[in-house]
Amino acid sequence: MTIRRILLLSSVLWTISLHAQIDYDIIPEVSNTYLINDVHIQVSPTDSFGLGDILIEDGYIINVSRNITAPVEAIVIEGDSAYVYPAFIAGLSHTGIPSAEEKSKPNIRFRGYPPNTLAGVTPEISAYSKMKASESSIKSMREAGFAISHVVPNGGMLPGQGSLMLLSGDSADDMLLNEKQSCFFQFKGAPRIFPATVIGVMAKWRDLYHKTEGLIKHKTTYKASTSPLKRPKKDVSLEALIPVVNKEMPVYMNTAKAKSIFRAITLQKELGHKLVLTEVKQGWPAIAKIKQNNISVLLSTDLLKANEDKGKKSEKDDKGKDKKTDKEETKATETALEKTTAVANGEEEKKKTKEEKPKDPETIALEKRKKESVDAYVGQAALFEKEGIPFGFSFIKGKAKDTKKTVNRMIEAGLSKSTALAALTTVPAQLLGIDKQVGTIQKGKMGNLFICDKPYFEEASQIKNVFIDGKPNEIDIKPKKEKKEGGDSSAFKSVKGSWSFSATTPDGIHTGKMIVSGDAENIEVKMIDEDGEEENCTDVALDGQTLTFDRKVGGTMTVNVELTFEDDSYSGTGNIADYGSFPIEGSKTSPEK
Amino acid sequence: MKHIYIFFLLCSSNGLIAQVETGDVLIKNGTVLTITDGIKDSTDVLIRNGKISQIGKNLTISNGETIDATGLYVMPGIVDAHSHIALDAVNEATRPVTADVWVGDALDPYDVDIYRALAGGVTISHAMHGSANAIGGQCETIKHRWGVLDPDELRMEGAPRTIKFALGENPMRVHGERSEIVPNTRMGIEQVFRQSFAEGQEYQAAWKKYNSGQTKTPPVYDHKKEAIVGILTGEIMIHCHSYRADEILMLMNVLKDYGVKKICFQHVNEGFKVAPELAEFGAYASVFSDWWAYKFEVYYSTAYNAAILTRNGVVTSINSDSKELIRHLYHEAAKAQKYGELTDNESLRLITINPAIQLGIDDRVGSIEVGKEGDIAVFKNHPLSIYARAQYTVVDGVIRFDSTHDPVDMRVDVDPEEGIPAFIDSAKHSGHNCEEGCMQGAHTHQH
Repeated sequence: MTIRRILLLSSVLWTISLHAQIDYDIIPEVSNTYLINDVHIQVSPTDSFGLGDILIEDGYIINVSRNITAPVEAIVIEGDSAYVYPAFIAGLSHTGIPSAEEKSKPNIRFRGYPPNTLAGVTPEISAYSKMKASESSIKSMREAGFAISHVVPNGGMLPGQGSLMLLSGDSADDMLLNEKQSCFFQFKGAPRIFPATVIGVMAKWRDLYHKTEGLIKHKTTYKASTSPLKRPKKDVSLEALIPVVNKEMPVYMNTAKAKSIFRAITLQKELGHKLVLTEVKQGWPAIAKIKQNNISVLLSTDLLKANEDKGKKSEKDDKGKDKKTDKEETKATETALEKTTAVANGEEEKKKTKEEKPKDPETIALEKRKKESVDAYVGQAALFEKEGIPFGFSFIKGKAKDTKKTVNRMIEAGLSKSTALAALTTVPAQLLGIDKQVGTIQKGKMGNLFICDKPYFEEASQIKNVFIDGKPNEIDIKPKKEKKEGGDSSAFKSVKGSWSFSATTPDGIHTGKMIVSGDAENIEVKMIDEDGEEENCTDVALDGQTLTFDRKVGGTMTVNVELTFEDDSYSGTGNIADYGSFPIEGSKTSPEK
Repeated sequence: MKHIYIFFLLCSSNGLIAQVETGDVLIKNGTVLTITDGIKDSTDVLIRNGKISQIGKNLTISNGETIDATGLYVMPGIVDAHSHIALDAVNEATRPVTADVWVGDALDPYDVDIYRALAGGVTISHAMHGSANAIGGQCETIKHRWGVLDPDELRMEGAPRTIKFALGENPMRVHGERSEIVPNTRMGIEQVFRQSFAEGQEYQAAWKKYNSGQTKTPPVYDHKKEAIVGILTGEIMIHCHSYRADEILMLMNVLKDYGVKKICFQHVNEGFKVAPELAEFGAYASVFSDWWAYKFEVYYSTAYNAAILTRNGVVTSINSDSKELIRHLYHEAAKAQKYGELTDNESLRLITINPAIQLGIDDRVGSIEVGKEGDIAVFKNHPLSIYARAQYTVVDGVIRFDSTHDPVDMRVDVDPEEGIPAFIDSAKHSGHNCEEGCMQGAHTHQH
C-alpha cells in the first residue's frame, strides 16, 4: 500500500496565516479531510461492506460508500485493496501511566491506622492526572490498532479513577475524553500495614463505602438545616466515592482468579454498587453467577506465556515427525506423551534424549491435568461466547502489542472472529458508554479506524495507519527482522558480559550481578544475588537493544524482566504478576573477551 | 477418574446454581452411634433432601445412593471447633484490634485440605482468624462440601457469627515487641479489651441517639466498632485463644463488666485449674488432647484437661488447629478417653455435639436425630479404636468422601503454571499453608 499526500491547499493556508498573527509553534493542519480509497471495510464485528471508500472530515466519518469523489481539500490515501477495521478500544489498561515511583519506606508508628495514601486508598486521583503523553506504552498500544483506552492508575486497593483517553495527542489534555469514568479496585493489600490481606481489603472497602453513605446523609442534612449543625469533615477519598455509592460510577475490580470474582460479586451484592469484572483469567467457575447478576466482564489478555512457548516447541516436534508418521498419531493431546514418543523415535535430537528420562506415571498424570488447566484458561473466551456472555478485554498484564497473537490463540481454541472483534470494539464501547460515537465504521462516528495490509487475523498482517479522532498516525514499519541464522550478533556483542544489577522493589533494594553469555542464537542470562546464589534465567530474547527474560524467585514467582541497554549501562523493569513492576538498573562491570 | 468429572464441572456452567447441593442417601444396617440417643445396632439411617428423615430398620430409598454399613459404625459428622483450613488469609496482623475483618471473605473452596478432613470424617470446621491480635477477625463456620467452586457454597448458612480473641504471648509479641504499641504485657491485653468495649458502648449510644432523633447528623460509621457492638449485644460469640488460668479469669471478669455472656475458650491448656469457674460462667472450652510445650506459656498442661473440664460440667470439645490433626480427631478424642477415662459417648461428644454447641449449631448437627442435617461419618472399626478408618463421609446427604473411590489427585483447581515434576505444592498462596495454626501470616510458627 502506498500513501500519498496531496497538498492541494497548502499554499492557500499559507497565505491566510500570513495575515493572521503568526505563532510559529503552531503548525496548521494541512487539511482535516481524508479520503481512504479502495479498501475492504469491516463496518462492525459482523458486517463487512466489501470494497469501498471512507471519507473523514473534522474528526468524523461522514461517508462510507463506493466511488466517493474526493473533495478538493481531501488528502487521499490510496488503499490498494487493504483492509480497514474500526480502531480497537481497550476496556482497561495502565497505558500512559508511568510505572509507580518508589516511595521511601515510611516509618509509621501505627501500622494499623496508616494514612490513606500509604494504605493504597487514593480513589480521588484520576488516571488523567497521572498520564504522560510521552509514555511509550501509548504509541505501542496505538500501533496495535487501538484508538481509545480506559486507563486506570496503578497502586494499591483503590489506586484511583479510570479516565477515557484517546491514544494520540501531545498532552494528556489533548487525549482526554472523560476524566472520571470509573473507580478502580484491587484485592491488593498494603505491605505490612492495614489493610495487608484480602480480609483487610474487603473490610476496608465496606468501611469506606458505609462512611461515604454517612457522609452523603450528613451533607444533605447539613445543607437543608436552618439550625446550627456539625459540619461534615472534609475527606477527599470519601468524596471521590460519592458517585460510586450513588451508583453513577461503576467499580472496575481487578479479578483474575475465580475466587476474586466471587469475592467481587459478594461485595457488589452486599453493597449495591455497579461492578465490572476485569482482567478475568479464570472466569468459568463463576459463569452462572455472572449471568445471574448480569455483570459486565473484561477478560485478561495475558495468556500463560510459558506454556505458549512450550506448545510451540511441541508443534515443531510434530512437524518434524509429520513426514514419517500418521497425522492422527501426532495429534496426541498430552505433551507428556508427545515427549515420550519423541524420545522413543530416538533418531532426532540426540541432545534432547539425554535430558529427558522416561516419565513416571505420576508425572504424566500431573502433566495431563496441567494441560487440561491450560486449555481451560486459553479456552475461556470461547466458553464465554458459547454461554452468551458479552466481554471486552483488559490489558493490565497482557501487552497490547501481542493482541493479535493472543486473540488468535483464543480463536484457535474456538472463539469466533466476530466475537473477538466485538470484544475489541463494540463491547467496550458500550460498556464505557461511547457506543454512539465509536466502535464501528459508520457515518457520524468518530474517525477511529486502522488500515491493515491483509485481513487482520492473518499472521503476516501489518497495521499501516491508525486514524484517531480523524487524524492519521502512520506506522513506521521496520523491515521484518530477518531471523538471521546466528541471531543478531552485533546487538548481542553489546549486551554480552558482566553487569551490576540493582532492583528497587517494595521489599527494598536488591543488588547483584548479571552475566550475559552464550552466543547470539542462544543467549544465556545468569543472575547472582547478594548471597551468591545463582539463577539461570529462562525465555531469554534480544530485540535490538532490549533484552527480555524471566527470572524465578522464591520458587514459584516469576519476574518478567525487560532491560534496555545503552552503551555501558542499562535500565528497565521487572514485573511480577499480581505485584506490579519495579525499576532495575545496572552498568557494565567487565566486558567479556 | 473423578477429577475429570470435576474438570468438566469446572468447564460447564451446568449445575452451578448458588443453592447448596443436597442429596438422598440410605445408610443400611450399621451400628449407629447417635450421641444423643444411645447406640442402635443394625439400624438404617435415611437422609432425604439433605436432612435425616428416618432412623430405623428395613428402610428403603427410591432415588439416591445406598451405603452398605454392615459391620461399620455410623456417627454424626465430626465438627472441628478450631481450624484454619480453606482460608486464603488467616491473620490481618496489622492492628491489636481487627474486629472489622472476616475470614469468611477469604474462603478457599479449592484447598485440598477440605477433602483430607473429609477423609477423617470431619464435615464441619470453624475457620478462624489467627491469634496475632487481641481482638482478631470474625470467623466462619464452614461445611466441607468438597467440589464446590463458589466460596459461598462452603458457608454453613445461618450459623451464628463468631469472633477470635487472643490472650498472652502472641498479641504481645506481634504488637508490643514488634511495633512497641499496646499490648506489650498481659495487662495491656486486658486494656485493649476494655477500651474496645468502652468505645463500642459509646458508638452504640451515639447511634441510639441519632436513630431516636436526638442528634441530627449521623455518627461516623466504623466497621470495626460495628463488630464490637455485635459482641456486646450477643450477636457475635467470642472464641478466645488462651492458655494461662490467670488470663482466663481476667477475661471472664472483663466480660462480666460489659455484660458479655457468650465465650468459648480455645486451647485453654490451663483450663483444668479453673474448671469450676468456667462452668459457673457458662464458658465453653475447646482443647487439644495432648499438645503443648511449644512455647513458654504452654508448659503447664495435662492430657487430663478434657476429662477434668468435662467432669466439672464445662461443655468441652477437642479441636485440631491443624490441617494434619483435623484428619484424625476421632483419634484425639480416644486419647482423652485413654487418659481421663471418659465413657465412649462422652469421648465422642468431644468431637460432635459439644463443638456443635460451642458454634451454636447443635440444633442442626452433632448427633444423629431425625430432622437434623445429613452430615454422617461411616467408620470401619469403632471410631475410638486405634484401627478406626473413615469409609464414607456424607455432607447434606451428598457423599463427599468415599474410601472405595478415592483417586490420587483430588484437586479441583490446578495451577496452569505449576512446576512439574515436584511435590504437589499446596503452598501457592502467600502466607498460607506455609505455616500451620494460629499464627499464619504473622511470621511465626506457633499456636
